[in-house]
Amino acid sequence: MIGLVLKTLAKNEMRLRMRRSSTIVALLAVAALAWAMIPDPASGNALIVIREARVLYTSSALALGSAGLSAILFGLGGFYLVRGRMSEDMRSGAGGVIGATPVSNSVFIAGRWLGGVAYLCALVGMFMLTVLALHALRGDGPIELLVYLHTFTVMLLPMLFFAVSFAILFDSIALLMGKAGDILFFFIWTAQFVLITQVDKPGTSSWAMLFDFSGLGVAVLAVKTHLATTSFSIGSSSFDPALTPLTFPNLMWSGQMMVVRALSGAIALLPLVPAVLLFHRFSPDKVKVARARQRRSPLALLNSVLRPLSALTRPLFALGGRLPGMAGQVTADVALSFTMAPSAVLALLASVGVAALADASVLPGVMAGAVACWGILISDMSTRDYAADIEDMTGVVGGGVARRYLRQFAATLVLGLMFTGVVALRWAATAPLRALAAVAGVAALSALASLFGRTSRTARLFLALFLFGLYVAINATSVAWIDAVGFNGAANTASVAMYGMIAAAALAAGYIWNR
Amino acid sequence: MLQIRDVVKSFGKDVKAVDGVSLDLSAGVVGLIGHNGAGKTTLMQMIATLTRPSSGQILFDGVDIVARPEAIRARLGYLPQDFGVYPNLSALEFMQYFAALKGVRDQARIRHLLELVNLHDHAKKPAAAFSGGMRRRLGIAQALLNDPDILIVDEPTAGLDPEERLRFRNLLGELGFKKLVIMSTHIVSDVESIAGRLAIMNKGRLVACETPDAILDKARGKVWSADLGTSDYEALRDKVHVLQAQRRGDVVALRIAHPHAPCPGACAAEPSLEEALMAQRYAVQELAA
Repeated sequence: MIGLVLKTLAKNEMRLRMRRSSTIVALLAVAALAWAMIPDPASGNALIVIREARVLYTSSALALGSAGLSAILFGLGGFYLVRGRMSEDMRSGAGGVIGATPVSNSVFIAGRWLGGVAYLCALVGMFMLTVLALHALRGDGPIELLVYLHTFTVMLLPMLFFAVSFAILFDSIALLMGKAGDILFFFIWTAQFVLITQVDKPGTSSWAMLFDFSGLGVAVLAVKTHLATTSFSIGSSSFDPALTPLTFPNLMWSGQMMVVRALSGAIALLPLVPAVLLFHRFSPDKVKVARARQRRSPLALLNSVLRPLSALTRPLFALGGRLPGMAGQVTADVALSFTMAPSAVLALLASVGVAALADASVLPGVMAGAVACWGILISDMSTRDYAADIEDMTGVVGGGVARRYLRQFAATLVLGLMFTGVVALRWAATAPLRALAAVAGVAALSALASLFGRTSRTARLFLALFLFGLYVAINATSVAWIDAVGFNGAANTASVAMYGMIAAAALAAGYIWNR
Repeated sequence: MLQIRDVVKSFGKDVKAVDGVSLDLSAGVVGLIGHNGAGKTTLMQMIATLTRPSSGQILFDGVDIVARPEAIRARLGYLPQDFGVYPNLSALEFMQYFAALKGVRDQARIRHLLELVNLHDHAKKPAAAFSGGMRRRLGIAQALLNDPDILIVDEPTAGLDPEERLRFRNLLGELGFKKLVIMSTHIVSDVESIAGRLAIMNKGRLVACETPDAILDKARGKVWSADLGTSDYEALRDKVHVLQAQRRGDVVALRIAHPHAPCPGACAAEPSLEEALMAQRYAVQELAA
């Protein structure tokens, strides 16, 4: 009986998720990711490079490289893709019905978890198929399907378990259901990479490997075992074509490593224990109040404490009424953003104040902080009408639905310039290209936030990619195209032009989709 | 004021949500009546410029609003059937936001409208914590911000308690003295006392657009009352349209919609508006069959 219930719940989860438009976006994204990840060696870049020599594109090399990189991305993206079903149940009213059924918390949570894992496995399957297609195009040996399946299972499954377990846990606890949970998971996800650096250290390797859900630490050990090096890069890197290419052995994984991965997978299930124990079961005592008043999450509590600050933005509403047409509506949307999140007023005042007064040497840090605050604030700009079930009311005001998309993009951009404008102005005097990068980057991010929000109907797609991009940009400081808003000083004319084109293309695509 | 000319809205090849509707409407309350899926909401969404007709024209003061939707938006108030509010926003802030979106400069109007809908004491409270009735009143206040000439309200009384329904009905009735109020509902009692005309829709088509008195007149002689024994009632009930059946001891008191006396002893009864509409609907169905 329990098996049947579990099967039904998991199938239902899978069905609902597969029918979302965000799934199409995700499928296209994972296919594009595979193409971007595995460069043509004729271009001078390769997926895996060891001591400047490229590793041949055999099944084991392509499987290890692509699975290793995608584990990082599926760990983060998977969480945001799986998350949010409990909120949907609350919005649709199904939550109360579920809460009144005899299904136990453990069975319900397990069903949701299975459905989430199955969904992510489907995405991983799509990713693997694209890698196989690339193997057929660019590979150096025969396609060995078992090697792929083996490597993807060993590398990815614990990470998928980790992402889905946390998604279910955060959805089960009222105070973590909103944006606060989204941001907290980003830090948890980031923290686990610290463990990868511990894997090679004597005395810490065993426990560190258990908590290395991404499998990268184990992959480092596998490479070290077979090729006697820990100095290698995964991801598109340049190589010396004069050096003899290296070959990975087919059987990379020892029995011990498999046991470690299995244990990691088991540990990744642990968040389900508090999820079952603390599950709100859609009780109005727990979730309705939290949702209605938004006071229980740390971010909501902060906004509640800072509520008087929103009075500072009220004159903007009056100004919006006086300005004609779209200018007035953009002003209203800016005012709404601050009124809904008074903490953003504080963040804006702080970033503008520091940007105006601080020494030029700290401006990159100020810019990074300002962009982070802005990105989190605007991630739901293009989805908030849908989330609040208010789209029909905002769609009949001047300009209608078509202009609503443009004004929300414009409000996002205006907010971006408010947060970053002072730094950009100071850079304009000394490093005009850097200032231009800030403007182009903010424009591109604004357009992407609007596009992703409109197509996926959730703020999480943009938020996940934004936080990941920020993480990468903070760590890879010398790559021009990663320096989207110029805080690394690595942006060049080509990268600025690229972000300008991304802004234009994303805005046009979103506008067409919206129509 | 508003002319709807042979408007069709199709979804795909097979589904016509609205099928060739034509209507001329002027100031007053118009009740848009029909069962679920009759096309009421789709028609209202087309008038509100949220969606475009597949064919046909909608003219507002002679201007084609399908081609020029801006011609109506500044003079339109719209309250959808289901709507929410932004979290963390007070009722006053919610109104201020919509006032800015609609280009309303007069901030005093916000206070006036909150008083009109009896929410002025709750203006600074979070709108998300409002009851269904309070939220609907906030919705109607929002719809009235720009002092619209045409007000479209979709199922405004759904889910309200009797007191809220009465208050809402009276408010819409008063608004209808000067403005065109289009109100969809399937609760007949909500419109019978305030609507000057009833537009009846069935399967996307406009079946009739008449005054309540005209509808009642047409139904006279088609609604019958009869007291039958249980066995007689069971024998009859599949052959006629039973509007009401109430057991009184061994007898079942019936109200029946039928073109002629459905059984011996049946008496022609004075129809209520709801019974008249049901009788009309059954007649349309039988005609189609």
